Amino acid sequence: MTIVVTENCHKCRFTECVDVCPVGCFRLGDDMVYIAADDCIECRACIPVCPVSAIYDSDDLPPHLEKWVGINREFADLLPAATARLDPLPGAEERRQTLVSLS
Amino acid sequence: MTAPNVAIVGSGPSGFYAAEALLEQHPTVRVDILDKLATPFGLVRFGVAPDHPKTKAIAKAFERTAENARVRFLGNVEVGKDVSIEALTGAYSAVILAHGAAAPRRHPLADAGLEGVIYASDFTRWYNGHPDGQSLALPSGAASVAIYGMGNVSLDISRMLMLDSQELAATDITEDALRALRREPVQRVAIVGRGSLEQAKFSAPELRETARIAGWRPVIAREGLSERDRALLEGHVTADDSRAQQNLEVLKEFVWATGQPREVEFRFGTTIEGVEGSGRLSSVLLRDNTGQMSTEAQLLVLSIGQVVAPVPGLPLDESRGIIPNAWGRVLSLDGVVIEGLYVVGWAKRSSAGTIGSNRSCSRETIANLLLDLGDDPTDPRQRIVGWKDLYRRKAVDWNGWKRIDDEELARGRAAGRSRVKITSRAELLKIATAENRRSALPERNKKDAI
Repeated sequence: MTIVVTENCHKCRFTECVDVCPVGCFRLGDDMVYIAADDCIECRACIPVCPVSAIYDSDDLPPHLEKWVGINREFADLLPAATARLDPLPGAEERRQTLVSLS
Repeated sequence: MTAPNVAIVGSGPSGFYAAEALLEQHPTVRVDILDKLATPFGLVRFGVAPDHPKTKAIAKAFERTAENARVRFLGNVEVGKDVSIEALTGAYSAVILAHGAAAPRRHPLADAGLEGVIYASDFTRWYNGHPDGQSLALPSGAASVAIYGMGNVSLDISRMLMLDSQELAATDITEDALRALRREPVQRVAIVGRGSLEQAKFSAPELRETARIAGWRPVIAREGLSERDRALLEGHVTADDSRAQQNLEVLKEFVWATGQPREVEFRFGTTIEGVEGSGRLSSVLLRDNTGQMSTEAQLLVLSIGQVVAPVPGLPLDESRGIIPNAWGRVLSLDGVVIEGLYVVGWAKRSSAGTIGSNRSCSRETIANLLLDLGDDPTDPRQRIVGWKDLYRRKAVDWNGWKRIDDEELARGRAAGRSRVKITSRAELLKIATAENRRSALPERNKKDAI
């Protein structure tokens, strides 16, 4: 079991997750955030707050998103910690509406 | 003019999140974190179940805060005993109560005086090695256990009773508890709650963990279920909120209870009305929508929440079991703000939520505290001195805790376990002060602020 951020975060980066994370395990990429599995305590506080449902417990991960476990691991090592909530990326709200209408 | 100083009473999650928020949001504030025990982290050490090491890793985040040069840990200092609230509010710019809800919510079933009726915190403190909780003796031959209350603490307790002792042996459960649980293997566990299926406060991952323990069958009692509960289980309707729906997805996989051994039974809509036995518990009296019945139990664990333990000099809202407050500002019983006194965590909002819930809770309080403190980065008030002696004489500092930590981890390595907890206060203090304490005050990297 690992908690991972998946493709819906890409170009949205709402960062509600950063705000609720009790251990500061999110890492800040240009287009999205990732979870540093070594720091994450698997409390799942971030899963329900994501506006685009991008965060999964790997146990519940749909098959087409499984590659994100490796992607999170790879990028988390390279990126700085996300310490505070940020404004979403430009266009995030439009993208969110599209994602919601698709689900 | 000196930098403001803040005392935080209690070093559990809410206390550490308060310290973290203060450091982030104020450039010069100094923080003393007091704890009545020699060990920090509160319920991370004494609440989180031994088989959840990942959750306990949250302590790493708190260590970063504790090792900040503006923070001091002062363990083994009990507020209300070693030092009064009045003395604290006189000596610090602000005092934050983060001492949690350490007393079990009383229930009349415990007043019958039967051996085998205990509170959940008696049980969790025992297996987690709390220095004040080591006198518990499991009743011998406790084949059937009833747990009253439907939250995650009930699930923690169920796992400790059901897990194979080999699995428990690798954790940091105390050796006493491990031996007792190995000697007295439990045959039946019933988790009983008054509420409906949707009112149960479990979280689904924890519920799934209990359901998947090898050698045990998760079952639901037909009795006590409402029409709606049945419709939910059969999938005719969906639950009102997402947590209930997630629990429901797990519960749907359960079968009906048959009363056979090695069943963990979930019994909704049921009140425990009485306890029976001579001297020790032999059965509990249940009432549900089909009437009253007696069922065998040698151990009843009351898992119905916690309340703030009274501290002399502090107001207490007895009905809610919290310190009366408005967004973290402590109020007198007349509803007047008490200047300089703040509250966070379970003492502020009662015993509910996950560890992470304390982060936003503490941030709310700190926002108000900093507003009250104003923009001036210094604190103009005169401070009462004369404390150094208490701290010098009694306090266990962060280095003292690190010595305890190292010793426990070393004993764990030697025994093939994650950690061997030390439970005697005297031994904890001896290890904490092992090195000659010539240095006057517990260090806050040189200068002290009191």
